[in-house]
Amino acid sequence: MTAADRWVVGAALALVASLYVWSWGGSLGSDAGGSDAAAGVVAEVVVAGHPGETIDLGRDGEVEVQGRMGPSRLLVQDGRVRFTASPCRNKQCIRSGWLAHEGDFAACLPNGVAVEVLGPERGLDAINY
Amino acid sequence: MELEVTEEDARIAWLAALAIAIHVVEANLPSPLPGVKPGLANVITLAALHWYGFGVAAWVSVLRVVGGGLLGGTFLSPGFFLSLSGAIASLCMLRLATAIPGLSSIGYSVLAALAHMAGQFALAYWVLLPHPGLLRLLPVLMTAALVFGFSGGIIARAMVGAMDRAQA
Repeated sequence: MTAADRWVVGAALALVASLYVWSWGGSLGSDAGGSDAAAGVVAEVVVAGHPGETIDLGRDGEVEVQGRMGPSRLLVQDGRVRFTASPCRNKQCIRSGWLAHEGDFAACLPNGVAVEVLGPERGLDAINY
Repeated sequence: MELEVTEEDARIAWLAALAIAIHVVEANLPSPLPGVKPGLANVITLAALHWYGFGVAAWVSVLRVVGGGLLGGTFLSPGFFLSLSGAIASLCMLRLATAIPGLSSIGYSVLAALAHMAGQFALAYWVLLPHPGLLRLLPVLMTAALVFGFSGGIIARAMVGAMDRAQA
């Protein structure tokens, strides 16, 4: 190993070490992808046949939506939204759980109510290769 | 019409063929993380750089990515573009590194490996998977690049050293 090599390896070690600090040390926020992505996000609620309305995920609270069969209840908390009640039989909408990220989607098909988290740009659902 | 094959063309073809063979074998090794590979094919690029200079090394590296992609069935797939962006980034780095006096294959290899991973990661983050969580993986990937770059450099230096001695 030449002197220049040692210099390069030392600089590389320092770079990698500083990457750990930068990436894991908190400057990216405590939960990259969770709370970061949720800031200022809204969700769109669509009831069958009607234009959607948006709800602000920054404000915690409950929203009741009148569907075909009856009221569905949505809970907004910590920048996320979920179904908490719906008059359907299978409760798939409630089992979908929290919707936090852009593009997350849940629907109560029997009741005709759908919720989608909106964001500045639509990402891809999945990539496989 | 007949194309004239220069001595350098033949050299590039030989080295690229070697690199592609290593690339294909390596592509079949299981990897714990996508994007992490020993990158032994780059030992040939480093040897080409040592013996014949940057031009030949660049040809060998790009031909290896294209040829390896064709043989491995990943040509024009996302994996191929990751490989290509890494190769281009590491070549840019090697071009700059040739300006540093006194570097051996070890120094070149470490620099090229880090640039390769950075180029690959940049493409993955900006195009294929723009998720902030991916940044958490960057230090781990760069650590792997450093380790494999260093070990690849040792192999390359031992190889060119042995061949230089055999020729002398």
